Amino acid sequence: MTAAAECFSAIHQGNVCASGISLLPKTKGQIFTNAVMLAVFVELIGVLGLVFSIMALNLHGLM
Amino acid sequence: MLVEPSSLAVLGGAIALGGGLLGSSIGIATAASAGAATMSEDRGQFRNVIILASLPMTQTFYGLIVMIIMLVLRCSLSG
Repeated sequence: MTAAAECFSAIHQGNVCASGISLLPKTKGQIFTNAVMLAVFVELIGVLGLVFSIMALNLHGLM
Repeated sequence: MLVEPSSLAVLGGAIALGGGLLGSSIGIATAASAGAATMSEDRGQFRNVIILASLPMTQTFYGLIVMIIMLVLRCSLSG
């Protein structure tokens, strides 16, 4: 589950970053901060995968 | 026992790291191919392109953290 969460999260974060990069020359770099903020939202899914993996290991009494 | 629990733990950690690597490679490829088109238009955006294209790399480190945790925890498994 962690593998699937991080795989799809990274793929779609790449799509978001590609959209932000393609708009950089049109806006003279003004969209850079907004693009990073939108990419961090997708990053949140990867962090949730990590947190839920550690929580599942805790529930099985392994940590 | 046919399959040891510690070997299953190592396999789970390896799958977690592999998922992170697969997604990061596809994401960085998508972002960097858009970055090449941007760099041809405006050369001054090199720093922003590098930072945005390396953002999907952080998912790999989460997979690495999960793999390290499972490699440490396999010593506590019986078998």
